Amino acid sequence: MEGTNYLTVAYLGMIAAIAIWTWTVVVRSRRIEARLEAVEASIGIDPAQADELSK
Amino acid sequence: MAESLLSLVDLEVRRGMSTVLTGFNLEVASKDVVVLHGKNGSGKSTVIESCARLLPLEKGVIRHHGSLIVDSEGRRNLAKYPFGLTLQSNALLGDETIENHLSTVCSLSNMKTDLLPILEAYGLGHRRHDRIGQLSGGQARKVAVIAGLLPAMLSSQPRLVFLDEPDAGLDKSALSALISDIGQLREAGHAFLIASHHSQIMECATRLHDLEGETKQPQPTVSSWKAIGVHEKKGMLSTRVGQRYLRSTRAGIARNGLTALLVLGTLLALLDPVTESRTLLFGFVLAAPFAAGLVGDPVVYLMREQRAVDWWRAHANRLPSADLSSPVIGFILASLGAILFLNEVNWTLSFLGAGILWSTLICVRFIELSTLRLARPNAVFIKLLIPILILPWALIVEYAATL
Amino acid sequence: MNMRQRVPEIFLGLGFVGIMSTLYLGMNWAPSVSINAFESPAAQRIFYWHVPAAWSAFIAFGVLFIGSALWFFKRSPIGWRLHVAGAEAGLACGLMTVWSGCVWGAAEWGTPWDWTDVRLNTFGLLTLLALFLVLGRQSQPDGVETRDTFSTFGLYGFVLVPLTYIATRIWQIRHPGPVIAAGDDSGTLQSSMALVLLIGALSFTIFIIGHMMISMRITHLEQRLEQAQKALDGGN
Repeated sequence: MEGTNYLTVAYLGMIAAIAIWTWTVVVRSRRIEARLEAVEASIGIDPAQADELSK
Repeated sequence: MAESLLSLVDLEVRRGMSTVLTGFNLEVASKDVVVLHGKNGSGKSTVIESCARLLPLEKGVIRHHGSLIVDSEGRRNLAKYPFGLTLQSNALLGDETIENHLSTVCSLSNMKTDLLPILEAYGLGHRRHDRIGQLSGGQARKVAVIAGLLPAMLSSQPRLVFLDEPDAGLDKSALSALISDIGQLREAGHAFLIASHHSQIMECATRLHDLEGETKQPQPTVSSWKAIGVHEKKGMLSTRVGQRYLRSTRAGIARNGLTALLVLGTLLALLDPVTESRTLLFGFVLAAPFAAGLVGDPVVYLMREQRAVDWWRAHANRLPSADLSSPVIGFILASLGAILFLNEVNWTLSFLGAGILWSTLICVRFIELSTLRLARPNAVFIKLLIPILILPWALIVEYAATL
Repeated sequence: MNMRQRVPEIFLGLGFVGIMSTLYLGMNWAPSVSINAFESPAAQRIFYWHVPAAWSAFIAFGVLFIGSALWFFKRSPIGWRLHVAGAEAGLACGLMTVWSGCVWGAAEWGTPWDWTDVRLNTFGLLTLLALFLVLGRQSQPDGVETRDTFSTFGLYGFVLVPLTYIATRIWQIRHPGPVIAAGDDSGTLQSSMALVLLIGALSFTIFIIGHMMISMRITHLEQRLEQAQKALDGGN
């Protein structure tokens, strides 16, 4: 039983870690997207042409 | 037409996120003084550093005296003839004396000379035996400028000289001396590529180039420079310079030696006098040379000051290093460790210690030099890669324990 | 937000659910191994995490290598995005593999790490390389020098992948060989363990692909933002 507890703690630690990681990445992606939209709108860049800029 | 000493063909160079030079062409012939005077960020230093083979090219090719120096396919050859180089940073080591530094510059041209008259012309005669670290900013700049001019001053054959903002920090008399030297060296057939906005430097140009177009500017004939160099071939220059740096700065002792002694002391505190594990004891003995190696090459550490590494990379394929003394130090540290932990000198361990310190130092140096191109090389987490060396070390310890 | 932009998030969700299912099956459905085969049979169940994590780490390191090569030789912007995505995913999967391996090692060997085991060390080093690339990139301004340097390290690092693979065959000291063969003799037992591992590998693959897609998107957005801000500054 002790071994199973040990394993459960290890599993839970890793599940929490990947959940936090995934959540952070998704939030970062959405935040930067919102920021970009705001900046591009303020200088009047058409999002369809924006990819050309980043090259 | 005079002999072409420098040829830049269809150059494209990127720095950061922008392309600084595109389709840039330039020919510099004997007796040319080309002054680049474009606005800030237009690529003047980029041209000079590319010519000194310090920057990789996206496109194009650079030739010195007709021989390929660097091209966009990654070829990077040593210049057949020595050239003068003064970067924006002085590329000097604070612990070197003026005389030693300039003698090294002469040795790179396989020449020697009496440096006193040149130093006196720049008001540095009385300082020739002083350490560069004791000089003011302007005096140090004079040394860097003289180092750039020396290959041309020594030689009767045409040489290339690259000077990046040589006027920065020079006083009036030093500037006059520099302008006079440029004129006389030009008459002797040498060629200059200079980045500067200074009006007096621009006045001595035969061609003014703003990186888009150029204007020719005839110069009056002046007396020609008489070469002052005497041929003197010295082998293993990088090794000798590395040893001199180590002697003058004691950086090897301060960084690597002290680290190793601290490791020895710490392990001594942990040692259980009754332990009979050979692997553990041998590990303790070989830990000190390994730790000394992990600290990195002390000479390369010193040369990161003021871009001295870049200056050397421009002139030589082999940088000054602590390669010669590191096996000796490793041998001594392993012998000391063996006396402390095994109560006897074990020759096998001593030789292994020499090899471990030498090879660890080379690996760490390779890893550290790989990041030099970065904008902030000191900010990078390079030590994260060092554990690659723990595995071979552990295998050597295990092997030694079986002997 | 259009459907195309949602794809990485769908992958992440599917992968996460798959990983949870793998762990549930691994804990509750897959049979135990023979008591004699391991010092700590319960800890062996961590393999349902360890093996798929290592598998996805190799996928991520593969992407890192391809991205590094594309940037280094072709100067491809997509190559750089692949490099960044591969390094980040490789770091996460590498840490999961190393962590789960250490947990198992502590239970089974009595030590979480062995400095003389080549496979452990080369894998650990790959993870450190990914950490170096992720932290190093964040410490530098984006530019050709940064990209060239880190893609060179990405290329060097990939030498470790075949070395890690070969190391299992040649220098196997402590790290076990094929996991499934270490189980009971029963064919059904092996196949059910294999099935859980397969579901795990698939889930981790989907999950890590989702992560790499979203990472590539973030890098792309960051580049666009940088350009837009430069335009806003009035500079170039």
